[in-house]
Amino acid sequence: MPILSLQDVSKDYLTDDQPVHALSGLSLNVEHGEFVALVGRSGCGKSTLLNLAGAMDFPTSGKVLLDGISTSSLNDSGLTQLRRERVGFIFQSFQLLHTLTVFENVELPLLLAGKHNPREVARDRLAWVELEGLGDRFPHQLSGGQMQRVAIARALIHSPSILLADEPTGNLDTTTGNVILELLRRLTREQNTATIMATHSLEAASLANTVVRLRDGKIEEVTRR
Amino acid sequence: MPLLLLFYRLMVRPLFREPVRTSLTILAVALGVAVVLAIDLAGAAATGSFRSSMETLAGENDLEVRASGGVPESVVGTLATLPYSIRVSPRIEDYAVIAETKKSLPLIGLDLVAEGSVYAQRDAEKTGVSQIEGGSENVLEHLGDADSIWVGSSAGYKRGDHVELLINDRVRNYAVRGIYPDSNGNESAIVMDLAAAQQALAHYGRVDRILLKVPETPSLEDWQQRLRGVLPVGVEIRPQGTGTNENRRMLAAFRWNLRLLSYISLVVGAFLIYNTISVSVVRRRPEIGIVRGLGASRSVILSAFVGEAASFGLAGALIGLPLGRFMATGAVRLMAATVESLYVSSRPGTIELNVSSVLLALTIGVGVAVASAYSPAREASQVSPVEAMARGRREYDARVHKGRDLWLALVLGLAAAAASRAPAIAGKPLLGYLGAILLVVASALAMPAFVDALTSFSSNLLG
Repeated sequence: MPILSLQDVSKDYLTDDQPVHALSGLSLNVEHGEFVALVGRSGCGKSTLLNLAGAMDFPTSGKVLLDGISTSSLNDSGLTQLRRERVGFIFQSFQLLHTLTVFENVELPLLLAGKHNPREVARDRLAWVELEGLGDRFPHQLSGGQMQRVAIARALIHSPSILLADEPTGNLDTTTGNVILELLRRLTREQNTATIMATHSLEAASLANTVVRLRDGKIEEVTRR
Repeated sequence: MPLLLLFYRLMVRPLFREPVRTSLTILAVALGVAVVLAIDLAGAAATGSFRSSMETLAGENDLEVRASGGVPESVVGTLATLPYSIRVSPRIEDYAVIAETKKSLPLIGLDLVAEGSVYAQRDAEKTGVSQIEGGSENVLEHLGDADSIWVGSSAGYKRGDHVELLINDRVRNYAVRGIYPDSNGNESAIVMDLAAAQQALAHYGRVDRILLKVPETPSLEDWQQRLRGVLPVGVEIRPQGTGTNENRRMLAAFRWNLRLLSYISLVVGAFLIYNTISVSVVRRRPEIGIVRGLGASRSVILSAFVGEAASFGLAGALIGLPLGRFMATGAVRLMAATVESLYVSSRPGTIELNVSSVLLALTIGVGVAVASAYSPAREASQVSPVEAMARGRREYDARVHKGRDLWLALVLGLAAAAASRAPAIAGKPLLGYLGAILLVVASALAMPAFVDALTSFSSNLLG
């Protein structure tokens, strides 16, 4: 069973009272351990697809099955729980909380899930991303690459089934970006987590097992390696 | 526990990073709580003594004769010489301060010869012993002395002691001639002969009131009617306790008035909390989005912001408690003066900060803060993770709200004007109070637009 299954999914928005068809009749399956890159121009629907895949939003029509659970069948509380247990997020601008230390940022998902004593797990995940010894620093004391590593550690702390990354290298220089991409690819393989990455970069996309090209809210091409 | 840890990290700890904003908000709540508490404590202290010895030492009487500025002494003679079996008890009532301890006690002037014989006879019938320690012969020896006083047993004096009393701005030395028991719940008082009290208070030729005990038949109304005929113009006769009840009602209304007005200070605190939490929600919108995305439910977000407000309320209440107690000291003097000049001769009692005062402060502080914060907190909880992370949306909402708030302010202002002109309900200006609160709310709602207009005007002026 695929970890993520989008079945004839459409998503419409209202922007300034004008309807926008962000996604139209899109279908896609993603398996465990698969590294998928979503590519396409700005506004083609990459972020919308990630939001739906991450149970952050409901489709206007069609079905999104996350680990076999239809997101449309859940209320907000159920959606939140699904996100908390099975999804990890990595954002372009890192989205770390600047009033929390590195340890505290990484521990956040576990505390929200009501887990006690998350420090050891946080220490472990920071070791995965090679940031041992920086746990007590605040985000502003880190480089861009280090901040993105912290975001990756946070996204992985609860061992999610699926990892969603929205332009994870967008704010990083090429060298640091490549290191982060390599890290994501390694962790996807080692943890058997499905990773879906939205990117503008063809170089970044070349590291993925599957490249999905989007255009005007529809899948234009799927390339599997 | 994990959520409490998160609450500390995400909501409480950031407050210390903005000490000015945090302090101002807490101070506003503290002031609101302190004002309400001070008015409540001072009201109880300023009017509490009224429920004291003036009534309990009044004895078993049926009617009282009163007049504005005092009853002419000649009325006592008029009533006493009527061909009826009625007991006439003229009284002087005021307060005396014990110079040594600065303690204030009621001062009651009685016709001790007449009263003494009545009580001695009644008590002798009941118990077989005299109420006044030392025997009636010794008492009668000093009845006419201008420096003789009798005090309640709880005052802690014994027969033969000398006490300096401040009466009518003069300190004089008095000798304690006897002790009467006041362990039955009565407040201790200083009793002196009517003539001595008149002299000490310079109430020559007048008494404060005359209490009358009349036979059971005919009815009290008939006696009232019958005796009214012999009284001079301006002197009224009414059932004993009428004045007390009237005063009680007036004092209750007076305290109610002050209490409601003190709530205005809470409205100001409430608006500051509302604004603080609203600003907090706006500024932390991206954070809300991140935390929602990472798995925080709506109820967690709602609880976090309500909890932040409750923290402000709790801190404000804890500061407001001692502040209110301190403010009550000043307020009680002002209130006692008003009570004394407008309603009834009274004296300030002790200001007591008890368990109910603490509960009142906590309820007000936390309750007002939580109620004020609920709306912005709920708004924060309704935000979807996707929407929260889309910056710029909030600014649009704020612009929309500003116009809406200005209209709302106008409507509330008009409602306040209408409410202020409405008649009293059950003798209380309830709609007037509502008008005052509506005006405060309207001003707060209009403030963003006013500041915006002022900024725009200043910019144009300065180029």
